[in-house]
Amino acid sequence: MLSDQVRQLLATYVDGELPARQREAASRLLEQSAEAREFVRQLEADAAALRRLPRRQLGPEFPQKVLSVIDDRRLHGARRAKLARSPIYPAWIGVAAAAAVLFVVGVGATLYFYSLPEHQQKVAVARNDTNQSAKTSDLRTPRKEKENSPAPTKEKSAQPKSSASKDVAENGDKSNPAANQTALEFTTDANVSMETAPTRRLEVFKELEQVELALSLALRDLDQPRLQERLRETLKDDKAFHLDLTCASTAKGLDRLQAVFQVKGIKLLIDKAALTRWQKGLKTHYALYSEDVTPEELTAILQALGADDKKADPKQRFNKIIINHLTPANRGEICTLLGVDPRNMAAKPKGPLGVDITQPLSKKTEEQLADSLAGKGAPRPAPGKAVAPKGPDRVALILSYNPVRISPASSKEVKQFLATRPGQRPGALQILLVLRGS
Amino acid sequence: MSGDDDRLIADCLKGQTAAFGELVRRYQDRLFNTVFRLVDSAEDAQDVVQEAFLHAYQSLDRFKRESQFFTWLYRIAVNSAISLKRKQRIVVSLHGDREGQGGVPEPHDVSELSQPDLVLERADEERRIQAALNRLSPEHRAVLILKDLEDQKYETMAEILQVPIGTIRSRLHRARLELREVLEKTTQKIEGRR
Repeated sequence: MLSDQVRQLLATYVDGELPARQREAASRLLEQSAEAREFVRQLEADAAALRRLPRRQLGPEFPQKVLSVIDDRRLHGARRAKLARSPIYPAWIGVAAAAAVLFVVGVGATLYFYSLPEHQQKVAVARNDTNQSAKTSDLRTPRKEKENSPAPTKEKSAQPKSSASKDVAENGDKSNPAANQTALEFTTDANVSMETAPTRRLEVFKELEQVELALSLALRDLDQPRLQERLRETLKDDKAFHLDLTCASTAKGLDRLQAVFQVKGIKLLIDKAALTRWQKGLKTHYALYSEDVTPEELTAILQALGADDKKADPKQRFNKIIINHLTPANRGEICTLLGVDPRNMAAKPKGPLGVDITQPLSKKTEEQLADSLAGKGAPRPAPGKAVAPKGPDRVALILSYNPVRISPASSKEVKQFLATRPGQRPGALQILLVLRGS
Repeated sequence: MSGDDDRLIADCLKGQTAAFGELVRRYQDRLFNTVFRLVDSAEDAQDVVQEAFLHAYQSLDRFKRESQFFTWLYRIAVNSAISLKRKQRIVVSLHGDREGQGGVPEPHDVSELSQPDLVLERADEERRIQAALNRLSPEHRAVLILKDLEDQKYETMAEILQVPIGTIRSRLHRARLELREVLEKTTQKIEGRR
């Protein structure tokens, strides 16, 4: 029995399509195999039978018939069909029409997108006007506008919004912090009362927030008394500051920060996620948050950092530090970092020596007794000497600033910081120091 | 492509319908014979050939001069014929097999085989072969016709049927085996009746 492969070879042989080498192989096979010869004979017989089939023909009138159909159906040859399909209008009209459409779409889109925020603000204010109390309206409406418009309409009430923001922007927050706060409250109110979802466009007032640059200096230059004095004065000017410090390696920068803060009696409580990144040397921006550092202490810390910076490898040095007043946006950022609601940010009231007056005395006594038994308690005073009051350890919190910790509220360190933070001491500063990698 | 064809096509594209008439006259019979063997109906074959010419006339500007004109024409006609047969097979399968379930179609008049007349013998042989061809799928029928009736090369057949040469080779092999099987059964049946 011939295999299918051999049969195919022989079939191709019959067709005369085998290459020379295979043809020779087929010829040898035919010489050797009677079955192969019989198979080829049958195929050739079938092919011959097909070839013997009489050839059918069409009559000589067929071409004329085809041409008649072409005429009857009004069929056109390719070239003529092309001519028939040629456009009635010249090509430039199409181009011009396309350009005009593009122009109209472009202008329309531009007008739409430029008018959208203003329109939304108007809608927001219009809705606010119907919902807000008269007191809130007073805050929103500048006096001049109010005097001129005793019965404000929706459109008129929309106008003061932009005027108010403009005033805030022009006057600045320092000269009139209340005005700035009013603008922010205004924005928040508008957003809250909006029925639509908040969009970035509605944050236009936040974008208008202007912060006067407090100070920018190189830490290395802090050995100059003039700069020290200027820094001290700047830090006395406000109660909360945002510090931006950049360096090539934030891991090494954090090493140096930790060393200096510890020398100055402030322990760094490092969030586990930040600690892991720090230990692995992953590229991270860190945030240091403290509420318990005085202007003098901060000046000394920065001065020490500057002195240390001079000794450091030039490639590892800090760049300039930029010190700004802490803005509401910064405060919001702190709340995000700590994972707490802004309303709960205020520290719990505590008495002198760090006693939490909201807790029963017995609880603190229990803790102190346990510490004493474990040898951790306060040392017994020497006979005849008064006991020096010792406050709780001062702690600054280190968090990963970028990438930000996904769930800061679940951080043990953050919880510990929030639970043990003392109330802000008189004269102490609230600082957010961001250590960025350059 | 032959120079004459080229000139005639150029004339057609210039709008000379008579030139197309000459092209029709030149290829009508070859085309008709092939299509007739494919569709096994003179009327259908004529319709297919006519539509193929009309289609070619309207698409002459798209004809790429890489292949011969008749190859291009064959492609149009053979594919139309295969499509027609496929449709007819669907209709036949829906209405039952006209030629009996799995059996070989019987010659129209078996008694004619006993006639010594050569013309009648030839006619019977033609019917037998055509009936066997009809048992094959349109694709198998097409390769057999193009190869044995038209003596086309594998390469040209591949171009006409728009399949690779390897497909042509295997399809032709299977078609030959299938035809052989059908013809053997036919012969056995006829001999059994004798």
